[in-house]
Amino acid sequence: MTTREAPDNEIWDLRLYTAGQTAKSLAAIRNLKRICDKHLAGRYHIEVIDLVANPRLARDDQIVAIPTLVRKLPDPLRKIVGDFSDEERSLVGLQLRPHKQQD
Amino acid sequence: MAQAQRLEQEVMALREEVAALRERLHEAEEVRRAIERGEVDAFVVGPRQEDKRVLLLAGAYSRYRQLIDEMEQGTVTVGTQGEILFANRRFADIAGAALGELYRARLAEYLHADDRAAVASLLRDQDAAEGGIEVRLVRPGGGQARVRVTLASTWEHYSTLVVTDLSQEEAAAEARQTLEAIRRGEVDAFVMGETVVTLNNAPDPYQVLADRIQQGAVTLSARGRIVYANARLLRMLGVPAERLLGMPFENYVSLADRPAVAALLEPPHNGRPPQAEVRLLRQGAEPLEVVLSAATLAEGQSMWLVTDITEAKRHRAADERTRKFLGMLAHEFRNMLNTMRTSVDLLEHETGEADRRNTLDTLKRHMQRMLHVVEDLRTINPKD
Repeated sequence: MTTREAPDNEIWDLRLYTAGQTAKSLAAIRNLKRICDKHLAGRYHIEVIDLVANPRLARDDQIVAIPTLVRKLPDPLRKIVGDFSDEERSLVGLQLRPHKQQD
Repeated sequence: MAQAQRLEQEVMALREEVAALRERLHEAEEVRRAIERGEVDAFVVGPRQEDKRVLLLAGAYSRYRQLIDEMEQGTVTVGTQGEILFANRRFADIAGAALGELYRARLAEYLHADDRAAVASLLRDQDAAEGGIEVRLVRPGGGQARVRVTLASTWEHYSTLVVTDLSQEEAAAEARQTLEAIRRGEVDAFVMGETVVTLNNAPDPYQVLADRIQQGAVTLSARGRIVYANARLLRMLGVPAERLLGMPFENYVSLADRPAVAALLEPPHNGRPPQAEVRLLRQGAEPLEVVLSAATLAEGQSMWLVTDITEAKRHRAADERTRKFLGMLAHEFRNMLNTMRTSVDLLEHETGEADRRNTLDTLKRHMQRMLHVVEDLRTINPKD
């Protein structure tokens, strides 16, 4: 996995798939906003897609489990499944932190 | 005659050439089949006769050949001109080409036009990209495959590249990541076709209730950040849930009222007031006057009920106006009725015709005025 530093002018386009107001969906929105405010302040855009209201939208990004985040930009496209409760792991998933060495 | 002979000779020569070409084609086909069967263990390579060299795959290497053919990664060996000298089955699968086709081709033909220079650069300089480069293979039948290409070895006349199919690698990583998230308990819903199935199919009954009540409801963390907001509060503030969640609640309260909100966040034993009257800020609309009533939940969280009192205040003001109006009306009627009663008294005692007529006129005038007032009342909206 590559390590990246987000350049100051790079806009992050994120799409979060949720299932109404389930506990994990709400937690994902809350945690993701906190992480983005901290590490990508002013340089991110989150689109929240409620699959309970629009289940057909799951097809576009082939969503299986909810919550799932799709990083549209910067390239390449990446998916992160979970509620972002672990900030370190979330940063690795978003490629804002280097991957820890696997055993 | 001589011309006819010459023509016949030319035809014969052409036939011989065609026969020779057929023979070479047959030979090439034989070679291709032998390669596919794994019966060839050496190649003569090189662009010119004097540069030709023998590339050995035989002997000790044959078991590696078998290993390479069976491995999960693609591998391709190219000559100095970029011609494919060897490719394993996996590479053929990823490139969507038959093995036989590959041996007649250049690697560049299977690369996206934008990626050819990067691969050429990789072949020139091993140190340039230690971790390999990501490029796209273009399949002859249509479609592309994202691959990572790493330089495995370089000899004088050929280089071997290892090609990893990233789409499969990514799909496997995604499946692994999903399983891990489920194990960690971070997933509570799944998409099945066009249906979303939540793990707790019966949602929290209190949440359903909170979403349906006519009052706003908000759950705050110990630091006053919004953890949950019901549908009514979202409508009051005119913002979507994703913009509200995680924000400090005081951001939506007028500056003057923020100390009252801070006081409401105090624990009950610190003398927290039971409720506070504040003005909520709304985007593109007048501030909304509300009463916040607090209740402490577990883990330092608190839930506040938000009651819109703008409507109640409007009702109170309307009631006040009605009360004043009715008071004024009663006063007016009493004055008129008093005047009429005096006129009736006078009529009983007056004897002069002229006086009686005057008093009767006064009586009639007051009755007419009362009739007008009653007519006006029928057209008045009591809320005005």
